[in-house]
Amino acid sequence: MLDIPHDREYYMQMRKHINTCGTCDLALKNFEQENFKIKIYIPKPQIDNETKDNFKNEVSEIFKSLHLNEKNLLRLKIKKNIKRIDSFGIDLIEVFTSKKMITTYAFAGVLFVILKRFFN
Amino acid sequence: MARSRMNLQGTNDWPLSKKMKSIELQKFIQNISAELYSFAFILIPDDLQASQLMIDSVSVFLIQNKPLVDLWKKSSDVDLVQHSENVKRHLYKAMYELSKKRYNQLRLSFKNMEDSSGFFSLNFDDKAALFLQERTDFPLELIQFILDKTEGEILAHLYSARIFMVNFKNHVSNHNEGLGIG
Repeated sequence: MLDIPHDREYYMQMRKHINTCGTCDLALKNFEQENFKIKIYIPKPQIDNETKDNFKNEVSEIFKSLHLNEKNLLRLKIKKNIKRIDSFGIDLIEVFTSKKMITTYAFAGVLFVILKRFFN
Repeated sequence: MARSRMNLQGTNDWPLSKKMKSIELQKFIQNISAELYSFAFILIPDDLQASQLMIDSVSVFLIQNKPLVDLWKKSSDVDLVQHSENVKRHLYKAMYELSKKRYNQLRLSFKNMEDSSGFFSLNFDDKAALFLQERTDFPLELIQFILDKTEGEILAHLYSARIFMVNFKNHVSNHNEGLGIG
């Protein structure tokens, strides 16, 4: 009776019986009284500051490792983009300094000299 | 914004008119550490193991409920309170499930505590049910969800826990009377 929600059908039926039965009513009252006293034996452990701080740090680490921390995600995104831009730059230099391009420069140089002489 | 994000102290203090971001979820979980610790310690009565249980429950919750977490991040303002309640109930559930597996492996290490204390010598499920009923404001449906049991089973656990505790209290009273204390 102590734990049954009051809107349940079987609670209402039991309550109806208890209201008319003196023995059950007395037994329930005694049990309720006894149960009121046992509350002091039910602990509610308290967290200490060290454990609390430790938990906070751990939760923060979990969020980071699961990529749920938005700040961290933004940082990772920026890093990734910088790397991408950086790799583009390296690619460009590699293309400009490739053998084919050097040959092209040389060819263009020769062509430029010939054309310059021809038009002069 | 007048109310700082850092000051979330539970479900009622959720800031309104914005979506739930990961950082808010993180702060919310961090701020309910006291509640989580109480339940963790009841399940595994060891300081270190209880704090480890809390941490593991958060990992399990985030991994198991990734789609839900993503959904909450995209949700509207109105549902924030409900979402925080959902987070809490899933954390409690994860904690209970994890501790149930660990309890028997670790039992020997806290045997002394179980032998000397009335509450801690209760059956595992009885203890969890009685704690949730007496020390939290969870309705019976929520206790059912956390312990994954039917209403009848929960009521049976509560009844058997209460009977045990009443007998324990009477035993302590008789013992004290015998010694001439109180």
